[in-house]
Amino acid sequence: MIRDITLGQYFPGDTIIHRLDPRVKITLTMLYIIILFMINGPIPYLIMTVFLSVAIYLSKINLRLIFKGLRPILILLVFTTMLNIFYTQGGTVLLNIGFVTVTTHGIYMAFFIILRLILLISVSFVMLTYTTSPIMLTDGLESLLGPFKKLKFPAHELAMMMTIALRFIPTLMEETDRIMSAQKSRGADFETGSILKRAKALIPVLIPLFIGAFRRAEELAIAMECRCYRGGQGRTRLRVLVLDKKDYAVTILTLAVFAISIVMSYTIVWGVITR
Amino acid sequence: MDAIISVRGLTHVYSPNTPFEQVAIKDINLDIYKGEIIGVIGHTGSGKSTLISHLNGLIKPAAGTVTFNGENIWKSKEFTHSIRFKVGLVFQYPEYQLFEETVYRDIAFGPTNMGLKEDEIRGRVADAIRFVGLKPDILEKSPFSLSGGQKRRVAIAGVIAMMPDVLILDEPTAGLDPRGRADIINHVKAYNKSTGLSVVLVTHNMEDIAQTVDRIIVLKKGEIMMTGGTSEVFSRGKELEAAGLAVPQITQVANRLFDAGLNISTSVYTVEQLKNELLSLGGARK
Ligand SMILES: Nc1ncnc2c1ncn2[C@@H]1O[C@H](COP(=O)(O)OP(=O)(O)OP(=O)(O)O)[C@@H](O)[C@H]1O
Ligand SMILES: [Mg+2]
Repeated sequence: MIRDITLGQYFPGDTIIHRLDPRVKITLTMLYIIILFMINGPIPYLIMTVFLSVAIYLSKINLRLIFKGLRPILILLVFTTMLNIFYTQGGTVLLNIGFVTVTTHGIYMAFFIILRLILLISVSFVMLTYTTSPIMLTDGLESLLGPFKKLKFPAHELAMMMTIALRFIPTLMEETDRIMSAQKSRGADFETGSILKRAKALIPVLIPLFIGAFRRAEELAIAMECRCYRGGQGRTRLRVLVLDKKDYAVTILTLAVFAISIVMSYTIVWGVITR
Repeated sequence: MDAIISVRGLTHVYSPNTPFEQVAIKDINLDIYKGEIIGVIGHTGSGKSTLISHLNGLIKPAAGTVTFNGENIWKSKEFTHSIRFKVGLVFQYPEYQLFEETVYRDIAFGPTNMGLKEDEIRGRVADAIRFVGLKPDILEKSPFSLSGGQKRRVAIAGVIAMMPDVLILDEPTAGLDPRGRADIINHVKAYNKSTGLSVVLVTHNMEDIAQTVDRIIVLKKGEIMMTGGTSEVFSRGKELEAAGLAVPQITQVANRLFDAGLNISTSVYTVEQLKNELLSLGGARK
């Protein structure tokens, strides 16, 4: 069913990863991704992989969930592998059939690019989507974007919009599910027929869905107004984000790991490859 | 007599193998016979909606079977599809499923999907609208211009127009005023009398149940906790209360009188029955 979509789903928990300050998580995740594109060679990649594995282990997120999150990019992964294996030349030739030449260097390249993609996707899943509640995520974003408010950047409005959107995704999915069931009960058929026929079959779902969404938006607007919501100006918060010892510890540790990876990429590792 | 719908060992788990795993119903056995009205009651989250979604093939059972006239409703895709017309399901808050430009076309949606002819559809829509107690002049209006209660009835008419053998209503009276409530219940009863179809009525409202059904099924945490005739179930008020339910007000009155020392049966559930009980206390009338 529609609800089983994992993309963007939060799995509540009480691990150190869950409890980290969202700002720390967002910043470090972004850094991690940048570093992934800066490093080279087996040892830095090994360090980054181990680092993420430890994070996954600490977060108690089921590995199966991570694979599920990777499934949508499976085609991309296969495609990249192919391209790299066939088009990167150099090193020892392993296989040579007509146009196709597979070299050790090609396989080496393909392997690291795949690893990079997998790490990139998994880190955002583990650190952000799976372990940070949408509310924390937007709170963190708002706080990080705060300094730009001086430049008239609507950080609060943006965060509020994101919060509302995130809040209503499950509701709308549930509603879609319900309306689809109701129309199926009246013999609507969403599964057979040409594309055109199937698109048409969605009309009885989309109309009530949109009407419902507008009704909800209106109700929400009234509810917000009733509580005197006037935007971010002078608004205090229920949860004030404060960095504590563990946030600093994690940040320092992570930065150290990142630094080691980079240093190794540009010094020893070259020696290993060229040897 | 053979049951129209038979449910055996039915179990359903939502989001299996995730942290959100939730056993909604567990090992349910149930038979629905021709012409009867069954009430399904249970605390919120007890699995009522999940159970009835299995009866017309909206949810595929994780374990167990659902048969219609002895045939497994999942035996083929076509059969499952055709079951939707034989087992009419009216959802909780069905007014949110309306989508057509006119009431007529909305009610005709089901019959049209059945592939019926224009004349036949026209007749069915007219019958359906009469059965739910609306005037024919409403047919040309937009469903979105109606009141909540009217919308609800239009939605019910949309299912009745398919002329199902079994009509399932999920909380048809939720959020209606007493009058609208009584209207819908009375129309369902009358419809059952005149067509002899079976009705499954899911509700939180004990008064609805008391006035309408022949037999009650009580769900608790996804399992059948109690089943039996109306008076039988309502005579076990203490257990119902433990399951987060109540007995009808008139039964509560009888219970109080009994506790106060009157020697009357506590399994009454209509005003008439209590009156007879009280009168039968014999010579006590002065
Ligand atoms: N689509 C779904 N995905 C996951 N869990 C669900 C889903 N639908 C229902 N549940 C869960 O299954 C259980 C039974 O739900 P169900 O809707 O059948 O209860 P109900 O008896 O109809 O309740 P109510 O009286 O509130 O309508 C609940 O615990 C609910 O949280
Ligand atoms: Mg329900």
